Amino acid sequence: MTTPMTHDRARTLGSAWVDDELGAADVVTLRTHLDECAACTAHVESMRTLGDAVRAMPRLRPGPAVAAAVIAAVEGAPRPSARRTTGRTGRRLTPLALAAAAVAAVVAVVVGGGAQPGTPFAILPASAQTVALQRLTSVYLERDIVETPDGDAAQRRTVTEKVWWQAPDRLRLERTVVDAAGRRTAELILRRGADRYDAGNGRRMATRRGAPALDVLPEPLSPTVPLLGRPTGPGPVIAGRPTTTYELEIEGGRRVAQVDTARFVILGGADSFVLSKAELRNGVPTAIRTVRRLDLNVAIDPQRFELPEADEESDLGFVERAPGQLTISPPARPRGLRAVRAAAAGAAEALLFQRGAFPVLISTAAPRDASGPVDVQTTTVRGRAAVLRIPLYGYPSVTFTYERRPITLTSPLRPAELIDLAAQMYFPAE
Amino acid sequence: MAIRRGREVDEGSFAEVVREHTPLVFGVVLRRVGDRSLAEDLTQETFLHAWRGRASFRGDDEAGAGTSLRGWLCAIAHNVVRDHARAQRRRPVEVPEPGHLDLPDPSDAADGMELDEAMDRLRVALHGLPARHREMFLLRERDGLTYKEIAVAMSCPIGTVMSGLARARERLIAAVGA
Repeated sequence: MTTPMTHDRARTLGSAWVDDELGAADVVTLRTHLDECAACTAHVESMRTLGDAVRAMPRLRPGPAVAAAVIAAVEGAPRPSARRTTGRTGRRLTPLALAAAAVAAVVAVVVGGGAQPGTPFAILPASAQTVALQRLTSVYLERDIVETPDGDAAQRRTVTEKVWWQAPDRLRLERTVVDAAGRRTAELILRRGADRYDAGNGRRMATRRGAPALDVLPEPLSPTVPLLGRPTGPGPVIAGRPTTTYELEIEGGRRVAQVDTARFVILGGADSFVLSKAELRNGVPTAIRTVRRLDLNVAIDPQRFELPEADEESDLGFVERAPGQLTISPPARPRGLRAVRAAAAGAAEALLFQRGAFPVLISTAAPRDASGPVDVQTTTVRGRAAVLRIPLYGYPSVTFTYERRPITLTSPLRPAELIDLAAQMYFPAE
Repeated sequence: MAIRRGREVDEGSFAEVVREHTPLVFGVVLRRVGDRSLAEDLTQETFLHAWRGRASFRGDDEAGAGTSLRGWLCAIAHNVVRDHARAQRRRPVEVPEPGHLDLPDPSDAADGMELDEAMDRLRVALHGLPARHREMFLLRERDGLTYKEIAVAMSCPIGTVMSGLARARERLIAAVGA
């Protein structure tokens, strides 16, 4: 005996019918009722219209980088092991997730609080990104830089760069420069201080490999990639987090974004990560960098890093030494920290450590003046006076005194982590 | 895209799965966490979990090939969201209710979206639905999931899906006067 059809039941069946989920027998029963009931027929029609209306509504969609990063991680990364790693945030980070996170870390726009109107801005990435950087083994980067030294249009030049970096310290940079008069020059830089050669006559340049120079840390890993932008006011609260609305200049256009100053925003197209970075001098942009291509953890032919004539001495006069020979060798090594290169030049010493692909440079030479704004703060490392420098376009550093000598530790970390690392290495808790 | 039982899922076919189902997973996650960039992170994690666990996925046979892939992804998404919520708190939590709506906020300047009056009424009406009914309705109408898939995604019997959808539609129709 079948259930008697009520309007209520008809509407329930009608709903399933609209979804094509009604069994044949029930369809017959329903249609019999609908033939005699205008109200239920209208209701069924309303359900269809409702579906159309909701499908026509705009919906929030993920950025194209989301799928792209996952696909890149799945296709590019080595087969994941069953073992998982826990990041500091407590989330389980599989090796693939780390590769994807590393993509995010490197291309991230890092934005920060305390910015004055009209200034560029930068803060440091969150801890999850720091963990992600440890899994980064190589970077290939192509970018265009339009430089206008001193804001003078007559001096404008276009630079195309290709950068190869392999953990921990192999860096190769090819640069082609076209100046305002259209002259082309090519540079090949494996370390700082490379000579220029004229592409026209093919003169070979002398390049130098050798002990780490002060700025040996690979620039593609710079966590501070600020954009030219202006804060325009408070943004909406999103998931309980206050945001600031910024108007950003991206590739000559404008884009409005809500920025959570503790997070980061990823910008990009479907297959590549395109980022513009501007350097300002007195508020005037003097260089705009656009990343055309970025590949992470790719296999790089080691031949790229081979030099015809290796030089023992770097352009800054540093000579290779065994890490243990240096007086600034830290008394304690946090877990996973590995000494990679060490060098000395007279009284100055430099040590390059690595934690995964994560560089930590320690040196006694005075910190160079970074180009662009630098935020300088006094702080303490285990109660000892220290100076924190956070340049806009480079890695932050902390300088303190150890056994009567000033030591500077430079690394892509947040200030608190940097200080903590310095404390662990030089003033381990008794 | 169907993933058939016993077939090794390679990167290429998985890439297709990712491309096709990212909006679905993102919606499922976003409606539970409410924060867009967090939802993007957790969406990525969901697919990476799916990739790692692909050997354990039991695809349907020929008759229902592909129909439970979406349900499987939704279930993983729920676990990812739940684990994230747990990591934020000391005590264990269940999967958060789908309390958020993944429609652009009219005051959200970045999206530049404007809803006309009828759509706005619908938006308000959707807000008024009980979370689980709303979720069923959106999975059905926007993501096109079958009742079976919705049942898997929401861990409830198919009968509950059927009545939930009917109730949701009644309330919405009454609210917007469609």
